[in-house]
Amino acid sequence: MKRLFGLFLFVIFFGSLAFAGPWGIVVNSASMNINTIDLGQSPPKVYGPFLTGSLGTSGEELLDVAVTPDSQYALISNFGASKVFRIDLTNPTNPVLAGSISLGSMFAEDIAISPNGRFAVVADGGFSKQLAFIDLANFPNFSLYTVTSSNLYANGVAIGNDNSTVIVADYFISRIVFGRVNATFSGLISESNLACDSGPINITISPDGNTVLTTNWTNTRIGVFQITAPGVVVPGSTPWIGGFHDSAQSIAFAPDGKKAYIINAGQGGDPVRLSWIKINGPGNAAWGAERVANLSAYSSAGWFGVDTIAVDSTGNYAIATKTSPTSDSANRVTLINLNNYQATAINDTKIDCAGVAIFNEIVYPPTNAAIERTTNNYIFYKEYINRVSWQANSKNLSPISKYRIYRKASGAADSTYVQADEVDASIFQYVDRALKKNDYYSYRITSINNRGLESPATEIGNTVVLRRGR
Amino acid sequence: MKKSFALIMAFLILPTAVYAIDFSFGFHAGMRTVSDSDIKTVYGNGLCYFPYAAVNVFKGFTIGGGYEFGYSREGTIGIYNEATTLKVTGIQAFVGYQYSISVVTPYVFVGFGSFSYKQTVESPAAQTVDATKSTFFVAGGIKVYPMKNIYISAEVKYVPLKVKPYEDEVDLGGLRLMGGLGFTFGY
Repeated sequence: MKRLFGLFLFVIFFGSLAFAGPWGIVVNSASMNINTIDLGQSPPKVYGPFLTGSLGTSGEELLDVAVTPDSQYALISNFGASKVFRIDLTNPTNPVLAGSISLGSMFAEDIAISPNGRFAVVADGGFSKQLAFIDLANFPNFSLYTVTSSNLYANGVAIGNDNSTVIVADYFISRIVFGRVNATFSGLISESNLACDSGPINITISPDGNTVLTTNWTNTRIGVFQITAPGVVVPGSTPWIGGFHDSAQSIAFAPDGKKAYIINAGQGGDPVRLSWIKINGPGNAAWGAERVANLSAYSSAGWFGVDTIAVDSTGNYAIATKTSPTSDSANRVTLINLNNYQATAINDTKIDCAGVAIFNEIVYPPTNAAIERTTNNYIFYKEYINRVSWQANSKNLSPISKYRIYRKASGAADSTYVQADEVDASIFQYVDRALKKNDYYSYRITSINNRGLESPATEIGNTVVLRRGR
Repeated sequence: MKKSFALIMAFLILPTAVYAIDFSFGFHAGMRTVSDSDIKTVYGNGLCYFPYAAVNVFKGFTIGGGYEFGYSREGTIGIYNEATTLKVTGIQAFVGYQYSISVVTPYVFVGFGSFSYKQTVESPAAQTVDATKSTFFVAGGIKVYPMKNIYISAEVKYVPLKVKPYEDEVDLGGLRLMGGLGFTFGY
């Protein structure tokens, strides 16, 4: 009788980082703590406050927050203490302090993180020409860099999607300074500057990295610039968009870059409002609509660089706070439906809410996935078996409740993947039985956490080498 | 198969019109061995039974037929040790020659049989194995007549039976080592 000797296996690994349940994080400026908000629930569920007593003392003011692109860490600025705190968001229901930096001679206010997560830049909230460059791969290493090209102050900062271009807004003398980050992520090279419309207090860069917008507080305009090459910025073909009744604190692009949403200060007792402009192309913007939503916030002054609006990755909604520290009892984080501009106060958030960001809860896929092809001899025929195995990903801090297995025929389109099974988290293998000799499959395995969020997949493929012998 | 049985029946019937003939009826029981090592490992050798009838049509030339049954084995199979059964039966016809020396009659014959085999496996991966295969076989034995019409027999039969219901060929053949009693009468 012929025997089948061969076998085996083979693995193509496509790991990816994590999936994404949308969460918000908000810093509370006076109470010196943070909240996280589960935006995947309706109504959004607020967790915290967290880290009270660990992020500074009352009066120092927590202002801005930025989240690393892998959603693992948030950086939070403490203005008065000149500190940047790093918060581990792996479990958003229990964020953990994961280090801090004392910047010393500058006031920490606006924070920008490069899209690749390699470095962050912190702008000053006072009368300083300094920027702090944080080496995120070697946290807490950082360098203070003094703007040299002009007598500029560094009040708001943004980083382009080329992971190189850094642009700083100076409210006081109405200019922007820009350049490329140097090789050690410690400062700028090829620094230059341009005149800006009056009083830019915040700055942002479009997702495609081509358009720069500034919120010009003094004349209620939006400044428009264009990035033509890494570190090279020119005035936009529409240098500014005007006609707003209210000064703008913060601005954020839609994920597709076709709109930008603006948080306007409330004047004369009016609420903080949402406006938007159209983006026609690189450096080219047009009026959209003003005061399309009233926020649950009342403030008329502004913060340097603090990002008080964040748009989710689908572009369907945003969360926003206000424009300056006020203690109006109505102040809350506001959830805005960007399809109809319906604004809803998120209960349990605090009246001193300031900087806000949206991040994704991290659920990591299983690791060390492998597939072993074996045969089961029933004498008259053989059953071919794909034994798929994996290991728990130790990075997952939120409890994993199960693993989900998808299967498609090898070589078929990814769209043909169908769920083959779902196993308890204590099980680390899937045995695909009753296969015929030429049944080859690829598998995707995902982790599902206790809140039902599914990770990206670890993918393994089946390449079988059969040798026959007697 | 229909042609084979028609031929056998012709052998059985036609000579009776010309010559005096002897009829024999017997029953064999014994051991059935299996050739295939996997079959042997899982199911092993077993008993088998063979009731038959034969006609001595002309000077020791014999034709006959019978039904083999009794090989029905249980075991566990595969890497999951799943419960399994294997059953083999066969309807057989044969022609042969026997030569009587006093009370002893040695004989040989060749035959043709249709063997049914059925495997069951208690497994979600199991496939149906329930098929029939025909094959020739050979046998030889000896009859001893302690009384005029009663004989005791011993026989060795070899059935080569290679089957391939799916991709793998399996040898269900083997030896039958049997003994039994028979009754002969003539007219």
